[in-house]
Amino acid sequence: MNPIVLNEILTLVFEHDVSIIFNDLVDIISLYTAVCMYFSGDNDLKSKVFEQIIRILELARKSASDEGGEKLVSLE
Amino acid sequence: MKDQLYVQTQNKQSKDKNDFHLTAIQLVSAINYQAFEEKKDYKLVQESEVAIQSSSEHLEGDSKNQNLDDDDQITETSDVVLVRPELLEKVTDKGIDILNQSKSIVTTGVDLSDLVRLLVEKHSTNPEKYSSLAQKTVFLVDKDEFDTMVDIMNAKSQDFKSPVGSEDQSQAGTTDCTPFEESLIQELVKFGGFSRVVAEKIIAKEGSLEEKTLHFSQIVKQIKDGLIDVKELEEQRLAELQKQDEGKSSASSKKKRRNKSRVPQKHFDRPEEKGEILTLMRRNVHNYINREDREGGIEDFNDRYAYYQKVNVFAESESLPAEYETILKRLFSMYCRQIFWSLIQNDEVESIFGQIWDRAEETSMISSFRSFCNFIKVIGNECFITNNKKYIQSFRGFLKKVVQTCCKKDSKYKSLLNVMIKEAFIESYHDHFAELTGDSSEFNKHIYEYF
Repeated sequence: MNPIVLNEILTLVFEHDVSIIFNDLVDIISLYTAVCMYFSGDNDLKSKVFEQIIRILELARKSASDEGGEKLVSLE
Repeated sequence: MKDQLYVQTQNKQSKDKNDFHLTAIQLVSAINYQAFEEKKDYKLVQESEVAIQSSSEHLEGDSKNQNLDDDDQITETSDVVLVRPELLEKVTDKGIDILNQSKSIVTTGVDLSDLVRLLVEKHSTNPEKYSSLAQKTVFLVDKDEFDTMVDIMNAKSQDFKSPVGSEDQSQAGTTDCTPFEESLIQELVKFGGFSRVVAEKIIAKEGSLEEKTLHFSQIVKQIKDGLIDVKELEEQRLAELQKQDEGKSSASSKKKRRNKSRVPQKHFDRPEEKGEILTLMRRNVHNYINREDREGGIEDFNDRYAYYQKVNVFAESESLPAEYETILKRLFSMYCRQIFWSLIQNDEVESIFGQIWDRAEETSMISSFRSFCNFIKVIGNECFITNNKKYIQSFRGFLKKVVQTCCKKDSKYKSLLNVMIKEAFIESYHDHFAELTGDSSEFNKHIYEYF
């Protein structure tokens, strides 16, 4: 999948139902980071991808802390 | 097809007929693919429908105002003409004149080197008139395929030419449409379940194929919403047909259509500029055709014999027909994808999903989800690679509708997103990066193992 399309779809998923990605959270962050490094020439895409990574991490942190930190421990 | 010479022969080595033969639809799709990009259509016509332009009558009455330099100029039409091989046997045959004034021709069983020789001979008889002959495209297709195309065109022409007011025509309600339009109308009635009046309304839209497709979905939507009353349309058509019976024949309107397809001529700022360009072109073509063969020049590319040999070797190489066929098939699927895309982007995503997946079993549903992800991937690549802003905008809009539909509460299609994330994103990127590192086994370990 084209990284631009990947970014478009994931951004829409985060906006509409973020719970879909929780099962594959680590994979998605890893994938996002790898894509970002690989296509590092495209600064616009890079900034958009970093924006989404920060968004995911923030959502994950919130969700984890809401459930008494259990998820945070499992993520560690 | 533009400004380049393409040579193609039939693949006689292939044993399995179905493995190789191009269908008429593939061929017309390929011809029209460039036209699709340029927002115009080429029409497939029969040789009998082509009127050969003579040197003096080509300007259809306007010749009085032209200077003598223009007398041998032929106006190229945007027609692709079906020409029988019998008409391409001699220099004086009509087929070569048809090729000279049309965009290209489709024929069968013609020997390529003979045809090239004929074209060169014809050019030498009147270099001005046949100056663009060498740039024309000749499609060689299988005989069965050619016959099928001729049969289709004949059948449509007969329908079209049937006398006004005859029983058949009044039943069908035929109007002045071209054979292809008539064929499309019949397909819409047969497979789409449309009323003939609605099908005619769909076809009547002038413009590129893309615009016609868009028009198609708009009309379907209007019928659904009750904005178009099909019964009322049928009554109107009946009244129109009655008027037509009394009035003029459809011949004049056909002539107008034929004239419409002519390529517009370039306008020159200075009147003498056109004459100068034509003189220069003629001199170049004359020099090229009448150049002297060099001594012992069989190996020289400029030598005509060597040139024929090179063309033949190029055309007869084993990989060429297969490569050409693959490219045409790829073009055809791209063309189909574009039509499908034009249709679904204007429809409700939920109803499309319902039609595709509601009756499917779980296993076939997952495989269907994968195909849909693949479709999104290809469409996404195409729209971002072409950098067409309108295309990108419509793609984004479509994606938004898809994700919204999948993310609705209690949506049946949520697993589409799961499949997309797991397989189309994570797994495919794992594979991709594994290929990049050159050591897939190393990369196949789980992501946790890297940290």
